[in-house]
Parts: sequence; C-alpha cells; structure tokens
Amino acid sequence: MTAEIIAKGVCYQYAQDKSLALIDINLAINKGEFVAIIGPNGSGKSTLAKLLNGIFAPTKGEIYVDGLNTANQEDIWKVRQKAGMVFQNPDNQIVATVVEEDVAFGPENLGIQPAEIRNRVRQALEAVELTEYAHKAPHLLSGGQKQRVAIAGILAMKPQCIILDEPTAMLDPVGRKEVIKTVKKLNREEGKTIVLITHFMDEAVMADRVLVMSKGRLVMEGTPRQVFSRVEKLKSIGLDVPQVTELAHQLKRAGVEIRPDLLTVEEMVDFLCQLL
Amino acid sequence: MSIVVRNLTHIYMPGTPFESIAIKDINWEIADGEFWGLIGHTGSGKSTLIQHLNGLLKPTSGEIIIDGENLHARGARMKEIRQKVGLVFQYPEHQLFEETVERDVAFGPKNMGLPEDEVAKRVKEAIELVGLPYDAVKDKSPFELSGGQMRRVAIAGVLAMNPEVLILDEPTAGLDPLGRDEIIEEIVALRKKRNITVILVSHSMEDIARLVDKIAVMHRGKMIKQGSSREIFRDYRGLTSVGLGIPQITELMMKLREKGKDVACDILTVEEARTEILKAIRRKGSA
Repeated sequence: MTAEIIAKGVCYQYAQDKSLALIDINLAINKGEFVAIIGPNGSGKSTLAKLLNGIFAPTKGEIYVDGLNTANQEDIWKVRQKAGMVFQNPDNQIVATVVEEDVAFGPENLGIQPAEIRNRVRQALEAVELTEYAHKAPHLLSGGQKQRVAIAGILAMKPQCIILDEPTAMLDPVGRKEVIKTVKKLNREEGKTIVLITHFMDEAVMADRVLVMSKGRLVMEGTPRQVFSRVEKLKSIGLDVPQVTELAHQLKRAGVEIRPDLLTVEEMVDFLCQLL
Repeated sequence: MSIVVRNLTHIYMPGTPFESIAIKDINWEIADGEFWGLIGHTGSGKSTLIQHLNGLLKPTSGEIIIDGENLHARGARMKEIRQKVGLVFQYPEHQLFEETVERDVAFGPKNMGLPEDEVAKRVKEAIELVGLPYDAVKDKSPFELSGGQMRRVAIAGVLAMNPEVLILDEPTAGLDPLGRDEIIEEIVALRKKRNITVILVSHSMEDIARLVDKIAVMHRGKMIKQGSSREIFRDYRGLTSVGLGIPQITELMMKLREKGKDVACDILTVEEARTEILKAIRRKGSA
C-alpha cells in the first residue's frame, strides 16, 4: 500500500500562543485506510486536521498529500481537491439555497464543465442517498441530512481522501447513524481514504486504525482493539472507552478470565454466553 | 417547585401557509425535586415544549401550571415565575457577551433588581457551584476560557438567579468525555446542594441512564411515553422505532436475556451490569 498522507516531524504554533499546538507529529495514512483520531479538547486534533489539507502550513516539518507538499502555495488547490474537509457544524458549510447547487459549488470553483458538474452532483447525491432532495432547500433538512449534503459537496470535487472534524457532534442519534453509515460506505465501496476526528468512541471502534492525541502529541496508535484495551491509559488522558470495554475491564479486575479487548455488544454476548 | 402541563398544543404561524403543529396535546406532571430526562430525535418538539415551561412561548391551547399558578392566567406573576425556572439553551456559551466572567454571571441577578452585595454573593456562589475557581476566573474574559469552562460560566449565569427548576438543553453536546463528566458531576452536586427540580434534554442515552429518575419520550410532537428510566429503557424496540436507542450496556443485558441467560435486563450502568454478571457467574459455579 502506498501512503496517501505523510507527516514528518510536524510542529505547529498559533501566532498568539507561546506553546506549541502540535509537537513532532509523524504519521503515514495509507490509501483506502479508515483512520480515527481521538483526544480530549485542546489536544490538537482539529489543528492536525487543518494541516492535513493545507488550511494551515506546519511551523516545522512537512506534510505531503499524495506526494504534494502542503506548504507549497502553488499546489494548495490541488491538495485541497485531493483531501476534502467536512466540519462540525452543518449550518456553517452550506452556501446555496438549493441542495444540488450547494453540491455543485465545489466543482464550479474548480472550473469544471457544466455537463460534468451535473454528472458529479448526481453521483455525489446518490452516494450520500439524498437524490430525492436535490431540489429542496438545505435549511429544511435535518442535521444528519445537512451533514450528508456537506459530504456530497466534497465528493463532487472527487477527492481521494475525506477528513471529517467531529461531523456528528451536533447531531441526534439518528443523524449520527446516517452520517457514520455514509462515511463507512464511502470507505468500503468507493475506496476513499477517511480521517475521522471524533469524541464518540463507538465511532472510533469502526476504524482500521485509531490515533490518540494528548497535549499536542500523538501518544498512542493501533487497531481499535489494541487502543481500547488500554482502559487506564485512555482514562488518564481524559478519554472514554465503549461501555462494553469498560465492563470487560471491570470483570477482569474482579477475577473473571476475559479478553480485555472486547469492543462490541455482539462480542461480549458471545463471550458471556459461553461463560454463563 | 412543581410544574403541571395540561393539554398543551403549540402551532407555529397559525392561519398562514406555513402553519405547523409543533407539539400536540401534551400532559406532563413534574413534582418538586424530581429529576427528569426528556428524549426524542431532532424535530420531535422537545425544544418547543421546554420553552413553554418558563413562558418563552405561549400555548396555542392548554395550560402550564407552576406551583398551582396558571402561567397565562390574567395577572399571573410571569416575571417571578420566569426567574424560578432557569433555562440553559443548547450551546449556551454562544450567549456570553460581557468583558469579564464576573460581569457575565452578574447580568441575570442585576436585572432582577437585587442589591449589589446580594448580586456579588450570588455570582461568587454560582461560579463556585459550577466548579470554577472564583478568584482565578472572575476577571478573565469568558472568551479566553476553554469550551467546557465557557459552558460552565453560562450555566453559572442561570444559577445566579437561584432557580428552583433548572432545564438544561443538551448541556454536554460537543464536549470531550472529561468535559462531559465535569458538567454531569456538577448537575449531580447541584441537586444535592439545592435540591432543585431538573429537566435534562439529551441525545446521550448513557447520560440519561445514569442520571435521571424519570424519562419522558417525545415523537412527532407528542409525548408518547413517560416512566421510570428502567421502564423506559426496557422497551428497546419501541425506542429504536422512534429513532432513539438505549445505552450500550442495557442492550448487552437484553441480548443476554434473549439468549435465555438468567440476568436482569433493566440495567442502566456498567457497575450494575458488572454486579449482575458476577452474580450469574457465581450461581453457575455453585450449581
């Protein structure tokens, strides 16, 4: 597999701050990989996301997206076209008064031919399952639908990678499910590389790999199983684990012989059925 | 302080082409000191309902009775009642506006016309009640604080009015797990200290399960269910059919039960689940 995004010794300092927001970040995200980034507020997750598609340039070190250096101003539009970004608040990302026009905004700005734009908008809306809403006004949609419109807008620019910065933080359970289902589908069926920043551990569990950030550093990484089995460590940096993992941890401490890396309800049910 | 909602209906923009029924025929009784969770997916009418409880919205029909007094009767003391029912909106930190934390929290009690020393006393109390160090934060700009801290300052602004009922709309949305736990612990501490009535609106079934005593479920403008947390979360299928869920831990116990295992399934927290499973293991061991 080839790496799609590479960070080498990346540091970032906001102009008004004395301390570094990111300290010596090294990572490689492969093509088609689904990576989740978790960490407490202020740990540098969102800053990192903004560096990955060139909204900020590193103070020190380098970031490459598909071989392009994000600090190179001449390539910045190519970088952003390759790595599209979806933000937390759906209401801040919608620019047009009709869904299909909103989705067309990105490709229009890339100077794409009208016929091709139509094509892309149709495909993007199909991918997020909002075809029947093409002519609706975005403000009448639910939070989850709006966030899917935002994703469609990114898709229409044909990126290889989609970075999502807490896309479900403002949504209700149904909206969260819709968005996560869409993200998974884009990864599995369309082969998009996904970088998902989230506070919800049950979302991080679905990734191929989880990166944990704390105080500007990358402090842990591994498969969800490897990461979430370290309950004490995660709690010490102010993070949660899924309830099922917490239960496994507590049962183990009570002397029950149990794998500490159970992640889902189904796994726990299977395990307990053998025991009880 | 008790609240009775009787046959409450609210229609937005009645008599226009945009007319829509937001909530319909709601009946709800909240006794003094109770802790309620209000759940329902976006657009189910939760926000419309809670805005009636302190008179921000006027019912199209039906009534709100607070401590025996009809909120919309002629001559009702609306202003006093409003001060007794504190409403913390979603993302309340967006409503901070003063130059210092102290002045922001003082805004409410000042407008109540309280004497200065009383305002100062309440501001200090409220800031400490939400777990912030008064001396360290009082002269700071609220905008220098972290997201979780800003939210606590906003909540302090409501608490400084000494409400007897506190309504919180999604108080933990967008916070990290630590920030979430801090807010939750403060709500618990607050109830102990002041014994106030609390209504918590939340999408987090885990938070609802570990905090509240009773739950009201909204769906398409109607209140479709009310009961104790255990009763409500027992109805997994019913809740999922209206776009809601149950805590992961409750789901686990239900599935064990479905597989014929002898465990209680009205479990709300990880600790309860652990105790229940350990009991089952022991039973099996001694059988």
